Amino acid sequence: MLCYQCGYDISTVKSVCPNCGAAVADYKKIVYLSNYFYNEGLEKAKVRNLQGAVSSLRQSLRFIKENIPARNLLGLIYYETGEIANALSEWVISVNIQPEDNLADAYIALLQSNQNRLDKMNQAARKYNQALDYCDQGSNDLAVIQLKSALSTNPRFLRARQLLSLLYLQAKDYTAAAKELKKLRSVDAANTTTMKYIKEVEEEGGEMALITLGGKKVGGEEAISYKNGNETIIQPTGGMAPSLDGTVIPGGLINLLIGMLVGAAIIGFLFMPGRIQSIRNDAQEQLKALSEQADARNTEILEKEEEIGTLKSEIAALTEEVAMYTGEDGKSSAAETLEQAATAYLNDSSSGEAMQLFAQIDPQVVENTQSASFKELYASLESRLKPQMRNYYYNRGVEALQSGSSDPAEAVKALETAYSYSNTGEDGYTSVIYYLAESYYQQYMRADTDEKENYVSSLAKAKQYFTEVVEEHPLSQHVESANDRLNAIQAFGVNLSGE
Amino acid sequence: MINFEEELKKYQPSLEVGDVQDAIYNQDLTDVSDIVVRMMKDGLEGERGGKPGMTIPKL
Repeated sequence: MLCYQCGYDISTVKSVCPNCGAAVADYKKIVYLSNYFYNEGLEKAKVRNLQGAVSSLRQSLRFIKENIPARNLLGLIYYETGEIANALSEWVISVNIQPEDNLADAYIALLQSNQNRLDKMNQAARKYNQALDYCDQGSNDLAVIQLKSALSTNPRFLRARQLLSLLYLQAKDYTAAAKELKKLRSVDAANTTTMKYIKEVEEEGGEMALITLGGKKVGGEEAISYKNGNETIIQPTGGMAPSLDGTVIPGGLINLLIGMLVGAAIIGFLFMPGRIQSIRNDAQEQLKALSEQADARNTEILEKEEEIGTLKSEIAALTEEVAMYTGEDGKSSAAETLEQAATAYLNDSSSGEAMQLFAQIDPQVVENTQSASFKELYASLESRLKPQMRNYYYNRGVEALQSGSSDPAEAVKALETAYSYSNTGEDGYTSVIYYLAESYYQQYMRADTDEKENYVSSLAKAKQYFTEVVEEHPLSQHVESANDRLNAIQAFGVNLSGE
Repeated sequence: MINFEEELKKYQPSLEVGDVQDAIYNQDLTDVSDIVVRMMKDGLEGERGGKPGMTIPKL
């Protein structure tokens, strides 16, 4: 420390310069204050609180303008924040104050050694000023363009970036503002203007803006910075991200995975849809062709099925017709049976064989046949055999009934045949009915007790024929017996309503 | 909520390299030590019959 009057070293003296007698006590206090603020500025600069450092260093220079370290550091901070002219100004003054052994000399020489760079930085300042003019004119879009241009030339130009952030905030483009503010924070950690804009983004911006804002860069590493009292705490987040279970995943690996996912997404969204559409079109064409072929074949099948149905109908009709002549399973056909019956009749007109054969012929078959000769022969034989057949079967039925067989089914069958060949009013008709009724009655009576319910229908038919005898032929000899049977049936109490 | 117009007023034009010389010449480099020294000198001159009534204020 030198005396302000004579330049004598007064570091060790207290109040009066031993050389010139000047009072130096107050002057020394001023020097101490200047140094105090310089130290404070230096501390702030070390933690990248550049705005605070500028404030302290300016304060330091207000006390002692010759504080060369303070002035040089102030110039360095101006240079760091892109204020190249201000930096140059401080260094020039510094060199003027102390021409010898001054660090500012080296700074100026460094700037002047790269004239091109100096011009670019000066150009950035000019563009910033132009942007300010645009802002005053309300042409914010042009201002943004100028500022972007200025920052491409001088990326550390703090004021330009702050103004750009403000313009983004004004345009409510919070994500873009957050991107700029993140860069600002990496240059000047505790700048009040930057912090104010960050707060605005945090309050007004969305989630994306907050994500974009993220941490700040310190020494090339991502870091989160916050203030605790007077201390600025910088917490690096690094490239190693701890997972939930505490293991550490390398950041590079995460980036690689994200890159792969993005690549896959690009392929998925840009290339695959076209390819998928092409494959779908081909498949649809093939499907259409196959459908047409299938339709044609279906139509053909339907035609064939229709034809088969017609042919089957024809075959069934022919088979039925042929069956009448040929017979099935070794049995004689109707025509053959008729022929045999006729032959037996011709041999013996009262032969039971002729009547038995004739009875085997189904009258329905005769009715449906196309052969006129067959019908004629059947009718002729029927007219000759019919009277004999009634008697023949009546006798057989009564004989079977009277034989006392446990199953009078044969009697029932024979008497039904006799009944079918009987005509109302002819002699013996009442007897045929009576014995037919009696055969049914016996069928029920002779059945075992536990099987009687299977013969209720027989009892019903017996009641029907006994009633016919009593009501239709009251003079018949069988009326009394028929009445007895009806009374007996009544006494059984069997429900015959289902008959 | 930031008032854009008010905020804009805080932004001053940047000094360009060509203006550095003028800026240096126009800069008032007077510091506290200059004032104190001048005051002390004025005080001494007063004691020697200079400007009457001048006293050196205590810092």
